[in-house]
Amino acid sequence: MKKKRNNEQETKEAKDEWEGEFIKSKDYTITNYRNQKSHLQFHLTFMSTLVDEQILQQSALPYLLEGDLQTIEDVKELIPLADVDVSNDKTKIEQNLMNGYVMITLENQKDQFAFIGSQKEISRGLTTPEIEFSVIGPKEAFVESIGQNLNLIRKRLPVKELIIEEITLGSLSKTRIAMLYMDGITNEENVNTVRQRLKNVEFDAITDSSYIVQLIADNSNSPFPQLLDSERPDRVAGTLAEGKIAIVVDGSPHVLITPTTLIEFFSSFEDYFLNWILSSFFRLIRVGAVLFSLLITPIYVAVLSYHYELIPIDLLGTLVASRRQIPLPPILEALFLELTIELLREAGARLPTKVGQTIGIVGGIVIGTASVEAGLTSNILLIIVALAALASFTTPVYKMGNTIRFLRFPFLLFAELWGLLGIVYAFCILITHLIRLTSLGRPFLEPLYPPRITDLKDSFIRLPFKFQSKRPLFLRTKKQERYNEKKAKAKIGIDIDE
Amino acid sequence: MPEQPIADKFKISPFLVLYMIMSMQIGIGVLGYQRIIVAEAKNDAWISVLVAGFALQFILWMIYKINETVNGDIVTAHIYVAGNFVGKLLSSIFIIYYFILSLTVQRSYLEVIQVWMFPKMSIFWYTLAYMILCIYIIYGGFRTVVGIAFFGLVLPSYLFPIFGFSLSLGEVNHLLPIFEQSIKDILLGAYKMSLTFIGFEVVLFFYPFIKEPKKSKKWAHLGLLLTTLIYTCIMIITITYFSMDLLAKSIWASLSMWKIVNFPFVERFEYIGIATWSLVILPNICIALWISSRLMKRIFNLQQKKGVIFIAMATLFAINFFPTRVEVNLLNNLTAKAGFVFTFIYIPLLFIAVMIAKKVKKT
Amino acid sequence: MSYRSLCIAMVILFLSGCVDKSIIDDINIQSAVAIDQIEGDPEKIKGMILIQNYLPDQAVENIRFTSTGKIRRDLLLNIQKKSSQPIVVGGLMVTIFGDKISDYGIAEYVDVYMRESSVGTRNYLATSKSSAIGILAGEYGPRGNATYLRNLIEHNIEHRDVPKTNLHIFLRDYYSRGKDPYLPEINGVSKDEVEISGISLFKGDKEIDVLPKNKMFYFKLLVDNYSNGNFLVTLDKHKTAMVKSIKSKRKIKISKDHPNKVTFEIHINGVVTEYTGGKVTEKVSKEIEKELEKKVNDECMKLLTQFQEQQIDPIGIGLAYKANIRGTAKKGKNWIGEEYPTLSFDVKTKIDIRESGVIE
Repeated sequence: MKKKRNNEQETKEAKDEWEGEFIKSKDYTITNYRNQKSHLQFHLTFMSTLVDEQILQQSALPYLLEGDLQTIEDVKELIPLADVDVSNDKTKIEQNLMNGYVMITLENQKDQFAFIGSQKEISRGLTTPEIEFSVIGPKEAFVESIGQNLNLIRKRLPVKELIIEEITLGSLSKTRIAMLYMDGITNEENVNTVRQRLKNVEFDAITDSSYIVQLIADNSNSPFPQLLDSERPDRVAGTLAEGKIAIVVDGSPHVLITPTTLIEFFSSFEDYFLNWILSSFFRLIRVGAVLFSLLITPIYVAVLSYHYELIPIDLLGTLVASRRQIPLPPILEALFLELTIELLREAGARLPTKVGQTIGIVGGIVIGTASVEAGLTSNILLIIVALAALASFTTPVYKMGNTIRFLRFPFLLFAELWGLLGIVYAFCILITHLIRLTSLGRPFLEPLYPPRITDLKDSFIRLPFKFQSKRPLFLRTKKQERYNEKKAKAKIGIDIDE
Repeated sequence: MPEQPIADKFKISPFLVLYMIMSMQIGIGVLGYQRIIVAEAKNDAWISVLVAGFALQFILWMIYKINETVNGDIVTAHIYVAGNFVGKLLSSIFIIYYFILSLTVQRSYLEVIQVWMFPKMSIFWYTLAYMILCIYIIYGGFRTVVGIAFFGLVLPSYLFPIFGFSLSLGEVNHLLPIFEQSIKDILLGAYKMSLTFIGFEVVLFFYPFIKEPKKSKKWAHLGLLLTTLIYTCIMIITITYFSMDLLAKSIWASLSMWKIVNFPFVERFEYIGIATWSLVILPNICIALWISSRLMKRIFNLQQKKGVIFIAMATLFAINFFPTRVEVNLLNNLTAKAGFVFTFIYIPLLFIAVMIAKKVKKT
Repeated sequence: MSYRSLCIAMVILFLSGCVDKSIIDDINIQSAVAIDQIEGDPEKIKGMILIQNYLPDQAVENIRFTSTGKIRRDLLLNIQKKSSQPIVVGGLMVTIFGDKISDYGIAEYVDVYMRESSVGTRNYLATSKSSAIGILAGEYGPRGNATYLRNLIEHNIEHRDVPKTNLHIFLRDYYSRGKDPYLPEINGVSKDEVEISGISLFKGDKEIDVLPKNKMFYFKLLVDNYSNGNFLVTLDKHKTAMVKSIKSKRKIKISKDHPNKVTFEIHINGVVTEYTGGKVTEKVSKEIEKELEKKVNDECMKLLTQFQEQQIDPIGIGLAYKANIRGTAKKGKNWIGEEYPTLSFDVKTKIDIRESGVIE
């Protein structure tokens, strides 16, 4: 049935102006047909790689061939598909063809085009979250298709207030990007800022949401991620309800959440599935783990290089004895081990899962034991570094975990320079940086600074839901109340034995 | 030149004034103020601290009165009283005052580091590092400066309960009998103490940056009260811990008290204390630098970014002229005297002048 | 300021801003010091510095350096010349003064510790019955001599009869106008055995007397506000009870009306740990209490009068006196010489025996 370029001469004349580059691609297809009733000749133009031929064969072509096709406007009525559009705007042709539309042109109306949406949807099935895995709670994760992802979110917030705005970005990739927010809850100013920033993006190929993170972040010179990315639809829906904005990028299984605060990066969504006492405890442990991971090796270097007075007498023997044979100064010893751990992590991440596990075991046990036996590092430092690495992996957001591991190195250098004083100095720089940092213009360190006691209810600790009746202050939401506090309390306030 | 109003987003919440005042007050002085006060008021030194603290509430009241009357900072007040040229001339003195203040704090802290931690610590390099940090902070705007004031007070606050360790070796008899010293001695001690309290007058300079300044008043007074209580507590603990003659020999009594502290994981606590103290003095230096550069902007229309770098370089240059303890003590005495004149003589005078000017302008 | 200039500044900082390092395995941490006076020459001293060398197999080796010199600094300088690694002073645990030097005066040696900021104030000072170097020359326990001596003093303070002491307390008392310092005295019994043999009493920085072991408990009762320790009481020939004090409290009372009368109120809670007379009945324990009260009263009175005669005040009566009687401090320094001898003492002891072990 397909007669490719059978009337080449004719079509070339008509579409010369925009066709140019298209003709070089193998998947560029033009077919000619004749309507059986009006005997009008029409062309279908499409990219065969993008179009679902099934839709074309079943839902479009039969009607076009058999129906009464007189003018281009008739296409709209004949075809039972929703996404049919008629236009005379030539600039749209390229964009639509590249988005998987089929273009219909009639022989007698060469400046009018009809577009039928028949995109081929290829996406993998839903899987469980891999990075933000949780034992309790939903197991769905986003996939690479924007339609699927929006469906997953919409399903969880089936209200008309959930607004989805779409924009196409990337001069080459033409990536579809959707911005989601709750009308009447989300702060207008925030929505405008995100919209404006997205519009201002100038980049050729956006292949993942991580590009957007770096392109619209407030400070691109910061090692800290300023937009939270999540692969969990439940987390995205939850934060949307809080009054935040979500950005879904086509082709990326990670949805961005903004504005965000530092504390949020250390809270896992699983915290909301557990009892508040447990989740508060786990959050505190996680924050402690971050501090531990960041500071313990620098403290080791500082104390062993400068402040021997600090070491408790009972520990002194153990430390000195473990370092007796080691030729390297503490800083090199620590750097050696830290870099080894980083290498192991990199290798583990690059290799296929099963090989990666082996590398972890082989590297961890063999290299560790061997370097201690060879007298390159002390066994105490080996324990410390391994614990620090372990602690850094407790951070629920992977990108933040990377940041924490990176930050250890400047701390190490300053510890080598001025001991404890250097650590405090590095800490001062870190704090200053965090105070200066903003996410969508909202302070990143909130609720620590500016100090807002009410927002502490869901930060280091997570208070019970009955205390969470107000949305976070820093989001400046239009509607502060999440639910009616009085009604909720009335249900709880029943006395014993009544 | 009319004063440009400060945009709302640069302003700070009223309660943050408490942190500004406290972190500016608590600085290098806490490490060794006890010896100086005890030299005058002996075992009643803590009364001197209380007396000084409460007397200063009155000065703080005056400061707010001045600010409210002219609805602006000290430069506005000066122009209000003495006209544009003389007003700016008067204000420019404070550029130098705050420059010297930051220099003093920085150098005194370095002295502590050199004596207690690293005898070979290079004055130049440490100051350079610290100045880079300060510039980074001030470039973040007033909000960042206040943030540092906040963290510079909250994070090291764990040091305060540490003083409790010294209570186990405390001897209550050292404190008794109360009111044994003459009132003259106690007042003399209060005079010496007032120098450690200096720092709350920064309100004069950042008043236009406060959102709803009226509400901040109670926070300012509360901040001063809290500092007074903290100083009194430390003073009482110090008196019970040392005997008089030993205290007279201890230049850094607070540091000496930390020597008794130990945990199962830390044998000697004072090193941690000294290191943490660099976070405590950071707001001192930053606020002083900020005020200096802010005044430059107000008086000479010099961009604050340039002003900070200029002052930082001047600090870096000037700090080399104080190589030993003799010069450092000289600098300390100079700053203390200047601070006293400013707080106790100049502010009341300015207060009276503003009140007179207000009456004159009304009629 | 551009990022580039910032980076350059930081790099230079790392290259030239470093301070002196003391990496723990490249230094010799001096952990105990003994100072003796060379016979006949009060100006010359002989000192020994003990360094604990921690071996990779967790064993501890005592390394000793000896030298002579004029002042303590001099001593250290001479010893540095013998050591392969710099000797640092921050890990000091115990300092022992020989008998001659404590008679002569130890102020100048202690002064060094005040000046040197890296010396902790929780380390112990002690005197020795004979030669101090002789004590450090022995071998005590597997964890090193200094650790052994430190633990010896520490546990005797916490659980036994040695009153609280450390460098700070010594300095505080030495610089106090109402109290004289004291130190524990150590005696080397044999090559691998040491004991605390008494309390050295100081007048100023000179040792003038040593309290024997059996008086230490009563001394501790008088000096420390809270204390515990053991003591024996004999009811008659065949009945001896060992009483362990769990908790004791001491108060010094000076009434304003009778400023010359100083009353000590001592309250002890104790348990009977050993009794040779059979069953400890209510009656027996009352008897023990009474006997003990009498004994404590007597012994304490003896100590107080002894101190008064020697014109020393290790208990801090002067401090209590100043605290209770207004204007004492202003009268001048010679409280010890003029007012102290005129005081009269009274000791009131109350003892509660709580229990008598697990058997009936």
